[in-house]
Amino acid sequence: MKLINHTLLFLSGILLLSICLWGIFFYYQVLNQVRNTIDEGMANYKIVLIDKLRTDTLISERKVFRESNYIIRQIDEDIALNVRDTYRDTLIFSELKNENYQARLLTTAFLGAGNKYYELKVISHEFDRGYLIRKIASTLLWFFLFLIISTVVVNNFVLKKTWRPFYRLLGYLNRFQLDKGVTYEPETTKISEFSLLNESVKNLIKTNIDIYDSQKQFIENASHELQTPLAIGINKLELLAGENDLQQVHIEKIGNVIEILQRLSSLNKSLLLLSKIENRQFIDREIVCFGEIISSIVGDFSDYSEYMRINVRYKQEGSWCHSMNPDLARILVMNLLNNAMFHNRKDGEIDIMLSASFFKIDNTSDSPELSPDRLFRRFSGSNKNSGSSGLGLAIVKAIADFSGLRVTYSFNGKHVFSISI
Amino acid sequence: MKILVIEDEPQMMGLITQFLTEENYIVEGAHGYEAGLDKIVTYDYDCILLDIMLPDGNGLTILKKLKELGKSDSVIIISAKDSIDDKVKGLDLGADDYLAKPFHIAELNARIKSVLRRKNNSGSILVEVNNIKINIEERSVHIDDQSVDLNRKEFDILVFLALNKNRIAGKSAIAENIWGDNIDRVNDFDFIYSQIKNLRKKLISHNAGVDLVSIYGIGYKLITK
Repeated sequence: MKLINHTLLFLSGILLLSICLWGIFFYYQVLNQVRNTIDEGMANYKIVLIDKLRTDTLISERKVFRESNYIIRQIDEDIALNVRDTYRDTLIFSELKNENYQARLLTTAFLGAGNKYYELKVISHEFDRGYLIRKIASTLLWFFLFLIISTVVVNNFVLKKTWRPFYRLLGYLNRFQLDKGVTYEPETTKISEFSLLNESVKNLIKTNIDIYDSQKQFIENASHELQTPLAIGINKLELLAGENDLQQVHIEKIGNVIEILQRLSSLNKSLLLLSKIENRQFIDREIVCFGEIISSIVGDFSDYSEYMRINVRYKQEGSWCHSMNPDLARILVMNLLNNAMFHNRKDGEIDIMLSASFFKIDNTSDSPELSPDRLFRRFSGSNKNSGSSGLGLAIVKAIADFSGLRVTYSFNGKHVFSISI
Repeated sequence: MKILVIEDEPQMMGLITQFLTEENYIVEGAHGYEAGLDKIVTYDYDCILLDIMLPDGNGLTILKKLKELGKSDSVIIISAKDSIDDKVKGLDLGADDYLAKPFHIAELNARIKSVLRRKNNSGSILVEVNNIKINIEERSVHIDDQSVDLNRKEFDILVFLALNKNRIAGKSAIAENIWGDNIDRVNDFDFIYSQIKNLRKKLISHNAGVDLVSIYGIGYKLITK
């Protein structure tokens, strides 16, 4: 829920509640006032009436209100002496309307001529509480609506303007990606909280980008520094293996160590390449045509695929050229092809299909469908000990991301990797 | 043959020196820019291995100085950074070859031999091992004056192994030399075996005075019989 709507809902809830409470209070106030006024009127009327009646020697009893608004009946003295003036609400049946209506009723007693006691009941004009409630409620409802509308207007015009720096910051944070590293330039605001927030976010982001960059740089430097010692190690072992007085078993052991170092070296090379891509060191772009690249790489790898007993078929249905770094384009195709061979089986197949806007590489394999989420992550491969660097597809993904390409994986009995725009 | 190695990394220097000494070269070392400059001004060398990333200066300046002095020493640039710029600059300044670190020592050996061969016998570029004569320019091989038919890869492997005769050439060094740097992406270099097997058959059938032996897990060696 948006902040503005939340405020609005909250405000309207409070408004509604307070207006309801206030309405009830107001209703009782008005009701009291109206009653008092009516009762006073009735009291005055009673005085006038009694004044007139007191001197009447013959007071005729009146049983029904009819045209006048009082009734009189004679009562015993002891009852009369106990009568106090009482006001209450009552229902009067109107023959005219043929229904009951609400009114106030004053009951009193007086001593008329001839020492006779009378009970006098005076009724007021119609006094409808329901009508009062409806009237008050509808007035308050309109008032409430008016308040809500004003709140919406205030929210939209005032709050939106006030909160603008906040929404701008929010939009930026939402789009923020650490590896893209766009620094934040907040708009200046007079509101000190927002200004502080902007400043804090700016510093936070800057610190994080710096740390991220130095980490990336560290990985690149570390793998770069590792390269030469590794190569020296391998070369020295090869020299050692060439010495004459070694026995076969020693040479084999040296061979094993060399193999391990070579794997380490190739892992390191991949790591270096990956950090170079991430550190944007392949910025030169030109129009690269995948048709030529694929056929040249298929040619380069033909001995390897023959040795692995994999049948590589290449079908070119169209020609696709894309603006990207040519070295990365080659590495992309090579890594995909190498991946397709490495995870293939003996006497397996690889089908490469190039069209005018994409290419795809299908390979047979003994492994089941893979999870596309994990596939392109570093070192997520299942077989750690088989000589795979675990970085091949991570490099593919990094190149695709960097070059504005999309890499997708699907499974239809074969593993299918496709590259498209 | 005298070779100067200008290299600041002691391990690398040791490795190159050891290897080249075993190849019967006279090897001199210079551990930095100043030392290297001193050496090239004072002495003449057949070949200079020049690391251009030196702590106290740029190796390319040494190369410039060498050319200013009008010396004809062959120069192979070694660069830690795999940068096209350095390569182009170096070759423009008159370097004979360029090798990016890290490299296989067998590859360096082959490069040095090619450079020296170009320098010394300009024209016929011939590698001879026992009764085998390899003409690198014409890409032809003769055993006892009888021509041998080799495909491109077999020929390149033979040249590479012949330049490193009696030394182990690692599988990856062979693969990268013949199939190109990109082949280092494959996970298993044993695929070169089929070419080597065919080459070996051809050598045996022509009674060559050499044999190709496999060194378990490491690579191959061309040995003279």
